[in-house]
Amino acid sequence: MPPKTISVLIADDHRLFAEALEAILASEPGLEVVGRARTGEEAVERALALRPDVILMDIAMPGLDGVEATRRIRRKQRRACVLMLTGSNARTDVARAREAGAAAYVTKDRIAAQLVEVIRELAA
Amino acid sequence: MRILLVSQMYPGPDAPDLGVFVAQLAGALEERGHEVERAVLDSRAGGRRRYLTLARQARGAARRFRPDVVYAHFLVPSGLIAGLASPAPLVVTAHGRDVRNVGAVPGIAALTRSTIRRSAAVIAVSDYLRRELETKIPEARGKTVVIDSGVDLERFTVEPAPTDGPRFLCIGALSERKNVLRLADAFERLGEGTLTFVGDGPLRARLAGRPSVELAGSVAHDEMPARIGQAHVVCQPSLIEPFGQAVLEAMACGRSVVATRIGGPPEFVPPAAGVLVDPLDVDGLVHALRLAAALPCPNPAARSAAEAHDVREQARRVEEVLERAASDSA
Repeated sequence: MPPKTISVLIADDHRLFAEALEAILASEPGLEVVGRARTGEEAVERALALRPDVILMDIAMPGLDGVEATRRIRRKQRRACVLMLTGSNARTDVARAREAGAAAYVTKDRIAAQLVEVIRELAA
Repeated sequence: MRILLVSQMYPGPDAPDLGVFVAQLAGALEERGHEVERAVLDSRAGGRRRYLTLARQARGAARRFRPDVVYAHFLVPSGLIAGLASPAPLVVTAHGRDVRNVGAVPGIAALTRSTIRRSAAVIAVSDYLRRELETKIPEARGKTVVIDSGVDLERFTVEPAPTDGPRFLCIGALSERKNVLRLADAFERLGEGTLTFVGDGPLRARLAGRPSVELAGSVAHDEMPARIGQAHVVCQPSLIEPFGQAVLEAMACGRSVVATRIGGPPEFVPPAAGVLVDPLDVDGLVHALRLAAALPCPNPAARSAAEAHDVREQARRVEEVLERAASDSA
């Protein structure tokens, strides 16, 4: 039986970044980007509606940020799996991501090196 | 070295003049014995969707080619995409508009900052651009070096002067930034010779019909040396010119120049090769046209200054940066 496709939601306010990330993930076998969100509010709404296997969440979005969006998603869906994308591995960012319930984090400069592997690990 | 080149501008069948400077450097790196795989956009068509094509291309090439280093041209989107597509060390060249967009286009500052953080090294095509980049994105400090794209001295050769004149030539878009209207006004006040514009753009209609002014439209880059050879003086009095590629190519052809003093030209135009101008000063422009026309044609000082920017030498310097990035990550 072929392995299950991993569905991914990308939440990032930078459209170009999100589109490029989607194009890159789309070329990975077994991964499918099922949606994108440009705000924290949209991320909550889409995550609850689409129920993706992994939610890639930008920590720093205007308005409702990634931390608060994660908290709200996890409040309604305890099993939701959020992978936080952070600008740095500053202790405060990492701690906030973990407190909100993110399963893991990847700094944006390590996406090419780590992201796909971490998505697969989380979805396993 | 195995080099993955990622660029949103590259010459192709539909756009042979697109990013010629990138192709020249890539060719010079190959001449130095490196393997260069290209993930590039070689057409202006496709709108924003073409960047997704570039992302897919870059990812595919990164997986297939397994580069030692990724070399991107333009910070965003090419540099951003290159950094997402491959885990190899990233070196990215800033050309001008990509830096100008920081703070001017919403969202670009954050993406540029992220690209700079991801980069092992950044190349700016002029010291002016390096300072602007480091002011806007402090993370670029300490990792930015200045290397311009250089000129192919075998293609841009010294030609004899035209017999009549003076003939002035301006190469570039007919846009506000290129300051073409003030140049045309200054030429009119000079009252002698001809002025040819090579390029097209929104100000075309305001230049058309002026006495002794020719609008040649866009010209393939291959034809540029011949076009330059038909002029005595090449003018680029732009409001800002991050480097001034056309000025350098003109100098390689032994032509004196009238160039803006805002941006890169002061870094490579010595007094004997041309005149630097305040782009807003039309009186100064008239004077500069007169002075430049009085310089020798061909002008050996111009050629000599351009020789310091041989594309092969620039490729050697880029190679040093790429090798350092690759070895630091090994």
